[in-house]
Amino acid sequence: MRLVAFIGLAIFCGSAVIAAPAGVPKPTLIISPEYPKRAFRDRIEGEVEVCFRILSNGRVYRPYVSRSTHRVFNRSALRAIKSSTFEPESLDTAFDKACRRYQFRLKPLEPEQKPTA
Amino acid sequence: MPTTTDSIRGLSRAFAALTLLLAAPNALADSRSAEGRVHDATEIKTVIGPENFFAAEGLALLRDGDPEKALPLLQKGLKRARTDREFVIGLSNICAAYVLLKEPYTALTYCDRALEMKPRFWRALNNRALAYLGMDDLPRAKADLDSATVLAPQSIKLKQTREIYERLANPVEPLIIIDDSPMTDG
Repeated sequence: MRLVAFIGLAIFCGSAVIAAPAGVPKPTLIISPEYPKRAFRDRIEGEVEVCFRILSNGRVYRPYVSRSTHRVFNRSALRAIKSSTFEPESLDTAFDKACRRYQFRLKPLEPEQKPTA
Repeated sequence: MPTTTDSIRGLSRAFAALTLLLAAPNALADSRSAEGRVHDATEIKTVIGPENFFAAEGLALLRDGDPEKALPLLQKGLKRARTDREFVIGLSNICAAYVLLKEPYTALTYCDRALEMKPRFWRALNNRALAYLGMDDLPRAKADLDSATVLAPQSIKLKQTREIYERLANPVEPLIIIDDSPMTDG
């Protein structure tokens, strides 16, 4: 199931795409990570998986990076997940531990969007 | 409301200034050390502060982002250059000043002169690449950037210039994909 609504805080006018299949904690606030400046400068793409527990109030508890293709993305991913919240009603033991993957991609701009000067 | 393109342009300008300004301090250090070697070999005298006052002051102004005031001082400093090395650095700094003044064609003449004297001077190559970027001559900018990167592969300034080039030549925008689907190992 694709979730359309999102809160994008990505810099450089970045956009976010969210895939949230049924069976995982339902997010109430999704914070998109910032694309790290150094990674953007050096044109680095990557992926980070963060795992965490969810408190009864829906807040994320003790997140950690479980997998990362490049450490430059880790801090941004952790910051984003710490600010995100989930629906407390949907919590059960199955969601005691959840994980989220952030893919950092660089999308080529369309020709008409290219700067001319 | 600013568009993505406007943001990129603004950032590119800011990075251009930053790159040029950051390129300057070591060049000054080179200048001072070159002069020091000359005097060691000829005579001993006490010198307080930089010997080429105008070049140093011009450079300081350039670093402060004031190329208008820096330029006449850099020109005076160039006239007082005592070694070829100092002269080449002076040419390169004047080139940088003209780039900041958005006069890339004038900048090019100074960078060309610097590179005629010292073809492997990567700072001048970097400044000339920025001048070419100001002229929208992306292929030549890339050629200079590539040459400079061979000479100074770790230079952060060259990376910043390359970023400007990439933004103009191959613009991209960040896309963050958030995936909450269950984990699969492997």
